[in-house]
Amino acid sequence: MSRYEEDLWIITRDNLVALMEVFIKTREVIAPVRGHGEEVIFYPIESIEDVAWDWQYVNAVLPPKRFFLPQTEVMFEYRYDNGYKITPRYDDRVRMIFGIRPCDVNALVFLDRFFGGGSLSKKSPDEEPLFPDSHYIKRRANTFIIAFGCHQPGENCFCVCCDGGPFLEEDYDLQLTSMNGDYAVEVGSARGLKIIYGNEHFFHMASSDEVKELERIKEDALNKFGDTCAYVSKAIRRVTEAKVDDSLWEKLAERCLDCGGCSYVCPTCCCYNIVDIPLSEKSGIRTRTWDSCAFAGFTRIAGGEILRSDKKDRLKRRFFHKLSYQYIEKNKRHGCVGCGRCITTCLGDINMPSVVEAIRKQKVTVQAAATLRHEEEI
Amino acid sequence: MKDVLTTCAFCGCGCGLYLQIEKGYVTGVTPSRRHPVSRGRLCARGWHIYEFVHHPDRLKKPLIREGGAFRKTSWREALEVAARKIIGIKDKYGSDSIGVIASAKCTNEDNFVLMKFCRASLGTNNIDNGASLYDSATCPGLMQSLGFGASTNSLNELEDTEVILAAGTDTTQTHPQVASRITRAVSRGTKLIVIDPQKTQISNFANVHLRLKPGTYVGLINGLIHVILKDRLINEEDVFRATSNLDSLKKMVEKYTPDYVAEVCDVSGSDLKKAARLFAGTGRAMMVYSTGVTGQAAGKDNVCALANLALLCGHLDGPHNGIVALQEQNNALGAADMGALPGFYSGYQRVDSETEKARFESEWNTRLPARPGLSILEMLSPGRLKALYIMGENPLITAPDVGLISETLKGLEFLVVQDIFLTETAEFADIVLPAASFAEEDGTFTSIERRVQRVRAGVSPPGEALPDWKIITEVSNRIGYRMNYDSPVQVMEEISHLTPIYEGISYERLDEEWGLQWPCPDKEHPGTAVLRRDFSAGVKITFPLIEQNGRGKEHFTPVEDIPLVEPPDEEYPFTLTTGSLYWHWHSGTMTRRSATLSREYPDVFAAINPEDAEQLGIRKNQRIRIISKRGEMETAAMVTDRVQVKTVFIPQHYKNTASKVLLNPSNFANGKAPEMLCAVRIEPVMKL
Amino acid sequence: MKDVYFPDIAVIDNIRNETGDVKTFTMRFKDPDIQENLTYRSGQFFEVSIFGIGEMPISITTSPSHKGFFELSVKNVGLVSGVLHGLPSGSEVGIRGPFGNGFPYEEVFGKDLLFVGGGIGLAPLRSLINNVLDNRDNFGRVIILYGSRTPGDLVFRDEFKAWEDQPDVSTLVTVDRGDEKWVGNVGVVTTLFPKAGIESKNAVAFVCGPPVMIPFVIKDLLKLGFKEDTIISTLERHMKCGAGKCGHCCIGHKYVCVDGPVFSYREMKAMME
Repeated sequence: MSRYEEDLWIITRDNLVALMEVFIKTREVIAPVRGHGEEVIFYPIESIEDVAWDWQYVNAVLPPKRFFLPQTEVMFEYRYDNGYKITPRYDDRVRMIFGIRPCDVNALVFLDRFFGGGSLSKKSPDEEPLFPDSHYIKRRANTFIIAFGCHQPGENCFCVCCDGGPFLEEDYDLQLTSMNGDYAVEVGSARGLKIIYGNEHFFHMASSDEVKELERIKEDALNKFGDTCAYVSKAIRRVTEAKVDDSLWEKLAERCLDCGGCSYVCPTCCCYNIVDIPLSEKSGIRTRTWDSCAFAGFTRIAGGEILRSDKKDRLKRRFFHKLSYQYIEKNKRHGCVGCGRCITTCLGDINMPSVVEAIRKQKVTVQAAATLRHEEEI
Repeated sequence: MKDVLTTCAFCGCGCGLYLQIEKGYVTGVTPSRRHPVSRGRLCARGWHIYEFVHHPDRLKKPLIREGGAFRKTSWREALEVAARKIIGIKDKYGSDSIGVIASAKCTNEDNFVLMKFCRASLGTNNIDNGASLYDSATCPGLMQSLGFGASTNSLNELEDTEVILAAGTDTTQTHPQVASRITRAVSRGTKLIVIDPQKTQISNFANVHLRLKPGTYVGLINGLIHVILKDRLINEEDVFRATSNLDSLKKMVEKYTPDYVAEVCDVSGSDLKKAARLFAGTGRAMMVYSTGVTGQAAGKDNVCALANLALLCGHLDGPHNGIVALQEQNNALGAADMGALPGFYSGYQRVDSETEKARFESEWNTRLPARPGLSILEMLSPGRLKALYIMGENPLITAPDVGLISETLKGLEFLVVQDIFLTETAEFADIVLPAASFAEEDGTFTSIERRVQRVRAGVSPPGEALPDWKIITEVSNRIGYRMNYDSPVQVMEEISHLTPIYEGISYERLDEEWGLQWPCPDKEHPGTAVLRRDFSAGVKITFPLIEQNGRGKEHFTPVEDIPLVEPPDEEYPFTLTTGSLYWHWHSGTMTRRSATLSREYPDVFAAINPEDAEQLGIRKNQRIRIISKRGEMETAAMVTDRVQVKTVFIPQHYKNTASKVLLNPSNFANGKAPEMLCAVRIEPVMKL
Repeated sequence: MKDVYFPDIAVIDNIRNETGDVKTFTMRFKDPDIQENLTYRSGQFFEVSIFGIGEMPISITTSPSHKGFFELSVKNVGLVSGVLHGLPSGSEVGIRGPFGNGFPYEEVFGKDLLFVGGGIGLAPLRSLINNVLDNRDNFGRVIILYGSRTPGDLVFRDEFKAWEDQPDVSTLVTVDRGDEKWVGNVGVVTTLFPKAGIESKNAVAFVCGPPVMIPFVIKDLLKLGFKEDTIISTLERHMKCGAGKCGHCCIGHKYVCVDGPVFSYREMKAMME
């Protein structure tokens, strides 16, 4: 356990509601709310009533990534008036994400390393990336994270195989775990502690029994997740060593419908396109929009040629990026946190667990072995 | 920031998605996870449907033609001029000199109000919708056989059926949710029969791929029926009892022996028999078909033939057993449901039925014309009409023979187009009225599984644009026929009041559910997932043809194969086919303005088989010329074995493309469905 | 913190037609401070914005030793380059960068240098060539080999003379297809190799050109005794952000816009895909 502060606190449900009422007045609070039907989506709330309290929710279809890297984001405005004038646009809303799951927090830590500004995270390396992304960093720095530990896996969850959950050990501000109708509160950062001290009347220190209870709850939860797909490491090895035969990607390609959904719902995917939108003859905006390596046009170069025109190459690319050791070294972890969203969203039922399983089962064929020899020769 | 649940407008599947709204802009979409169609999944079109919404080209003010150019004008002037001109033409030439084209892309409410405008305000039945250009066959084809012109079953049933027969549909491109269900079904053990000249992504999984010659569906399906009867793959007596006209079907298919089919369709007898055994040898089978089947002069015959086959094998019988017609446009079914058809009011009530006409006359407080009006092809034929009112359709791209259509549009005395962009068609207009897009309008769409669902406005229309229904009421009021709707809710109230199959549908109910599948005859009715002729037992709904023929049973409609309108010959040895790409939709007005979607295929191309390419000395991306009897076009070659030898495929979404060289214009005269096939020859622009 | 996505404004001072579809734009940053403080390496590129249309990566063709302006040679191949080609002198564009790693320079002091260019691929090499020749004493022998499709596609034709005039510099030019006036070599660029008197022993080769050309050149260079480390080339990808973020230029685990676009042949071989 490497919490920012070792003490465990308890807050009652009523006090939590009261505390949230305070937050709602001072910042944008994003929480799981009911969409249409029984659907849960992450959404800025206007009243505490909106929160889907009794959630047995599996993760919302879109990860909270959208609040840090929206599907469309304005980067700057330009205007021509005897010369161009450019005005950057930043989103400096003060925000809180309430009820974010550990897998999604781990994904944010991944993005922090990639875009820079990962000062919230103790795991993050000290070095900033070469070109820190000020748009992401501003949003991230202004967002307070109240995570919720997971008691109960959703139907597609496999975080335990991916070091993604079901509880966080660090990288949060506060982590809440439902416990006998109240909530155990772990403190993960200085600003988390500040919230506790600033609202001390809402919290009380946990008794030693309650500390033990939390440990028991966490252990129980872990058991419920089981070891559903512990083969990620084998897949990593095979992908890294180029031991996966192309026939596997060809087979998967037959099912892939190029929708890009895998990238869009993945909490660690963050490729984007840059698109200018003129608003008048003399003014307009530059935006960035989500993009996906699943699209052939993603690799279109000047003159029209497409470099990964073959669908199997695009799939291979995606899983190389997620699983190869070369990227693990770069990103300090592999690119999957086990949230299970790709299982929900893929029209062809291609997803991390099924691909990992297919890689594991595939016999190393003559062709793959040959590739390997070739690599060794170099 | 808010998320607004609405219905995707980029195909007929009807996915549920949330528009993400930020400061008055749509900034993204989220698929609905609980929605029965999307189930947390969207295709590339769905994921990027918002990208066109704020495009700078959106129409923001009415335009009026002045000399050769458009001038921006006020609503007041545009509406007054439109009304004055329409009244003038009506007085001078009569009501039937005016035609109305409704849109399979607009909402039910838009279409209903336009239908009312056409019949009650203009006094003509000259109304048809854009889907009639290539999806027209489904409605009359299925109606003739089953008594109703829509899919019998729902999409999710595909996953649990035993055999799927997919005819003339590149499903992964046009209806990804259907393709997704087919792939999943196959991985669970469902057998798949594909009938298509092209190799498609789903044909990879097919147990049998009957790669017939383009346009020979009737011959092939009759061949299947022949084999099924000859080899006694079904219990004929049961079929005889449950249906009518089996004898004449039997007689007619006698000549469709495997040898005959091999000759006409170029499909081997053993494949034919294998397919027949698969399809007849199961208790649960579903059929899906799309524009490959319908986009042909013989489209209606193709649909009838498929219905015969399903009926013969007992595959029109309850869950997981039926036909799903994959119409491409998001509201193709809804537009037809709303009576945007020359012969029907909403709910397929006949304009030439005295009782039905009388009901509408009394409700609308006016006299209505009794004679069915002109079809869209007739209306688009030169010289037929003096004025056209087009809502949200772009026939210059989607209809065949661009030359002929421009001639028609130029020859009109008055053309009004209301649309969201200045389309190729709108460029011919006298008045252009700026309309709201699906993201800016409340209303409903009806999907291919008869699911009536809410469309919800997430943002305001750009500039002064207005919802289509609102524009129409403004014109109608100025013409002198009052329409007073405050909101689409009131339009839906009128629709359900006048339309038995929609009678139980209200916004209140739609908001509670994931839509309702018609027929939904009363407020308690849960909607109809599986539609059978006898669904209405005890309910007052009847379907017109069954009523008319006095048949109580499903009916075989034997159809003979007819040759292509323009078969290939020595001079024009290739068959040109057209169709849709995954990345674009319909006339491309919206998708060509989406940065992500248009990046995939920014330009038109022609796909030819490697064998032909080699013979003609054509390399990948080389410029080639495609020449038909009526014209020629230049484009880049794509070389792929997805297309058959001696065929060439050109996607339909681009300016000045296939439509330029397509179609035998004689089809216009008889009002049949256009044939999206013709004979061409191909040559390289520059010999390398 | 400087926003990496925020372009500075530059003014086009002069436009030179190189060929039918290549123009060289002389530009300077509108803000004199930015222009003054501009430093870059040969082989680095700018992201050039035409506002309302988009951005494209263009390598800097001026030597870093030339101050007060920079030049970009652009082939008209798409939307952004097409609009750029239509701009008159005095127009403003947006510039971000410089991005990319650039060619090794100090690292090749004392070496013989072989430049092999094809088509518009001479643009980044020109920056390096001029930087080398401006500091002539630091380098050994210099050989410049250049080829294009037709005589009309040759860029920087005037400069070959100036290069030749420098001590111990030789240049050879070829075209794939000659015309009636062409009296020079006809054939692909590798046909110049035997005529150039190349010594690979203490040499480094810089290769830039269309993707189809590069493998052939590398093959022949290896035959001449060049090592995988002494063959330096560039990779073409659509670099959208320049900052190693947008993902478009990824190949294997490298981001071409940050880790490249300059790679040794050894590095290129090790990249997967």
